[in-house]
Amino acid sequence: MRALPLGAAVPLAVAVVYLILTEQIPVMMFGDPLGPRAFPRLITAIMALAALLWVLEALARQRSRSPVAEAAPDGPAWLPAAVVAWFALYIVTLEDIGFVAGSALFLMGMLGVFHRGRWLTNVVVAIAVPLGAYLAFTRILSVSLPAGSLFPA
Amino acid sequence: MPIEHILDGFLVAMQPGNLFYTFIGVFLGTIIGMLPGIGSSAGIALLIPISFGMQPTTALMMMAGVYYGAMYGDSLSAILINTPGEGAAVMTTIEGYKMAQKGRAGAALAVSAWGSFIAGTISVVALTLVAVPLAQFALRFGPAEYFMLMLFAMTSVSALSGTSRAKAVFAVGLGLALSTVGIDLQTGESRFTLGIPELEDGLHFPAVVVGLFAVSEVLRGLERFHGGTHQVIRISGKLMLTREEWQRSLPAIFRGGVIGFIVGVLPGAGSTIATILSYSVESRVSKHRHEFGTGAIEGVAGPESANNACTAGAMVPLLSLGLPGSATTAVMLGVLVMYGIQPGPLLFANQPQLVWGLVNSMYIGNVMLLILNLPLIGLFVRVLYIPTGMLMALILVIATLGSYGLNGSMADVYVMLAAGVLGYLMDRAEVPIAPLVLALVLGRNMEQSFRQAMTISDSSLEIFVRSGISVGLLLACLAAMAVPIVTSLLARRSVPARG
Repeated sequence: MRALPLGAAVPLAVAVVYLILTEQIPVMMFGDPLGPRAFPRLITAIMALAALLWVLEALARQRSRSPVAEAAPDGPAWLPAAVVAWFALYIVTLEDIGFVAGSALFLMGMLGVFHRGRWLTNVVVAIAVPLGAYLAFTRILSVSLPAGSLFPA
Repeated sequence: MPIEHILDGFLVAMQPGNLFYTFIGVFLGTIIGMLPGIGSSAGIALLIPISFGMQPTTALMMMAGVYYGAMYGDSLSAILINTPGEGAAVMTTIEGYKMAQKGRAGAALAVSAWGSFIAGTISVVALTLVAVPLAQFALRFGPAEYFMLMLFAMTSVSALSGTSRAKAVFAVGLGLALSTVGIDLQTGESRFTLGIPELEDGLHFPAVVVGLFAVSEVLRGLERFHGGTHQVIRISGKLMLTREEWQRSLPAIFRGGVIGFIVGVLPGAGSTIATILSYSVESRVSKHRHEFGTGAIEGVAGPESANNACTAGAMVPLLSLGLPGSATTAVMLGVLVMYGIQPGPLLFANQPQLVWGLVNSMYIGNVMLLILNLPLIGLFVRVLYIPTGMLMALILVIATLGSYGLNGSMADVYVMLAAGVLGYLMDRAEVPIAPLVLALVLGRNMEQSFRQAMTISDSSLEIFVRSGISVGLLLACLAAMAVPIVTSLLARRSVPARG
């Protein structure tokens, strides 16, 4: 019995969600004759086509008995998830903690794991880089960065 | 040929401020190209914040410098640590790393620098000759022709990206879907904003590309880092070529320059294909074919030249048609649009100083690369000793800084994070990112062209086959779709024949 190509469910699911959101766009009586829903509907058709092609490619592979080699992860599966979680925490708290203090804490956590054992270098880099970047961007390039409400830089 | 515009362009490129930022771009580009896992697209995206407050011409010169500087820097890591930053340097790795192992790293680096310079010069001259006629031809395009042109770009990029057509088509759909987020330009209706006011302007392109390229590459890089570290080969031998090496390299450099330029002009092909073609040609025509695979200098000279020439070739459709043919030129287009510049045929007439200043800065940048790279190789190599774990963590901070600095808004930072996770998942699922970026950057214009054409034709699709140009582009789309099918059929036939 042939296995269902589950990967095709991804473009199909995205197409369905996108179509539901498309049909919720209000249509005005003025503007161009096609309206704001026409192009998104075309995009939905492209996604549906992708899902169909996905199924056809999977069936063709099954016929030729040449399954796609699954790319094995290079590191532990939890690693990217943990980095994303730590990065998200840094971003969420950035405006409150401020760019300098927030980035220093984020870097210390990252370097503690990925540059283990060099604590002095890590502390210097974690403080000097955000401080230097903050001064360069706010003073020289006139770009505003979060100063923080808890620990203003 | 607008000679006076070209001379004006030289004067613009030679202004001290522009020279300085071209130098900064080339310098930083070389460093970025050397960093394993960080390609030119991510590099340009990460450097956008540095260009805040600059004149658009100056900023573009710096970005172009980053682009071709990164191409050269990539070859340094390919030769010295057997790690190409992008696909384009894979061919250099084959022969360059073998040369380094045999104690000829200096010669490999020197031929890479000279090849990049000579081929870069050939391609900038060719760009000057080709771009103007193409732009003049494109003045005949109406909305229907533009729609077909953009469709052709997406079809060819999808056809040539990755091994699965389904995944490439999905990436195009995803990119187009993301481009529709925000206010509809013709009716003023809010679309796909999920009630978030910050999204009404649409997704800010730099935040998305920083996420897609830089953040996702860091996530992949940290995974690889967990598996081990790389060994840097010490540069040995003089950074000069012997007479015999020059004789062997020069024809390969010229051939690589021509191949690279032609491939660069074609949408979707990109520098990886240019280098593969060049390597394949050299391995067939070289008198030293038996040395291929063990450190043949032609195998470095040809692909490195093709790689650099490809960057100038890619500027032809970008500047004259407003059509990027690769992820990096799509990022460049995003930068142009960010500065309020719409590339296309009118750009040559309306802003000749910008176009020719940029083109000539590329020529000057090639001279700078040559002057910089050989004496400073020792300094650049130090970059390879930066611990990967530290580098990756710093890139995440720089990405956050750049995304926030765009508009001083946390919304862009969240978009960057989401795009980073999306890029990582796409990479794991082997869904190519280039078609998504191209569709994202062209999506809005494509929709406008489509709707304008349909309004003109009173909602009749016949407008898309009314002119010879549209029909030609439609046939080109069909040909682009047919290429992978034909090549796979031919490959299938050749297997039993061999067996």
